[in-house]
Amino acid sequence: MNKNKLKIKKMLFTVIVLTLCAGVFYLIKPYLPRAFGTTTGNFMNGQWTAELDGEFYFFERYDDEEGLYKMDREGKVIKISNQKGINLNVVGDYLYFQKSNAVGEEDQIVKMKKDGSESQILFEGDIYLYLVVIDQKMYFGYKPDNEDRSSIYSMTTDGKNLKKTNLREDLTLQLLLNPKMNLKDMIFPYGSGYDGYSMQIKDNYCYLYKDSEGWDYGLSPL
Amino acid sequence: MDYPPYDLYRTKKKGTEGKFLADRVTAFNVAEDGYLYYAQLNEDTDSVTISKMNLETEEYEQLVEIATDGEDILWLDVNADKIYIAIERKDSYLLNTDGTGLIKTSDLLEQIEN
Repeated sequence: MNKNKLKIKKMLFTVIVLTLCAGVFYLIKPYLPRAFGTTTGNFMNGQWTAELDGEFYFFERYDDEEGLYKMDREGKVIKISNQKGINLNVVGDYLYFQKSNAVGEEDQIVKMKKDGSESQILFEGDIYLYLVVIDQKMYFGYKPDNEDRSSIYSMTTDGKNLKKTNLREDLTLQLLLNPKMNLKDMIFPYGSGYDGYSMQIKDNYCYLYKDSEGWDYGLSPL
Repeated sequence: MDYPPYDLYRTKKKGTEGKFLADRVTAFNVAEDGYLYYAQLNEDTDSVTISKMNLETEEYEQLVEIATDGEDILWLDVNADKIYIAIERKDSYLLNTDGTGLIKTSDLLEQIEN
């Protein structure tokens, strides 16, 4: 009997400790350092560039010299890849981007080392416009052949664990890039002509355009 | 929405009117340094003015003016001390966030070749 009581006490103690640990982790999680491959400002501007530790990466878009370039801390520029792309992210030792392929070819998510080596295709399919890499996970819009519309999918940065998320379209990816934001009372002109390219969410504020039709866009809480 | 330019506002709470920040805006980026970078269309001169605004004090500073030849859709990436400005179907530029060092990326790449 005493043994059973002791066992139950131990179990209760373990549950309480685990619950407390989980609670503490939940509270401090937004404040833990995280690696964001891009910013909300660049997210709504095509992510043609990315920067990490003073090294700057950019796609040349229009010239004969299309490709991916790196500018080091001293301003020296080198071409690191002939691949054309958008939605550039840099996390740790790697660059991630959506490769721009010829019409009719499948879209691809490419991962390569920051010097352009070890380029590999992580994913191919009907990828929709955006790509955000946070820590070891990437998020992107994707429309499988058997679905009518695109959704946000996540995948680990090794190209595994593809999952459909319950995130709602592109604006929610800006929310992922704002982990400290308090969503309560925030307004979002969601589904009203605004999208992740015409408004920016940053530090508890929403920056948005007001066009000739005024505010009447059905502003609504998320 | 209509095509740009637009008036740019910021807002926070549900049910409150947004605060006006700038007019004739064709692209903007609230960067990690706490500044708003934005491009304003100058229809008379077929150009855009790139400016930065301190979002705490709302003081703003015009950085450069760039010819657009009627192309008014811009991308404005900001990373650390660099602004990347792309004018659709035209040129892209790099500019330091203090307004110095404006260069077409094509010219920059030409320098690499040579």
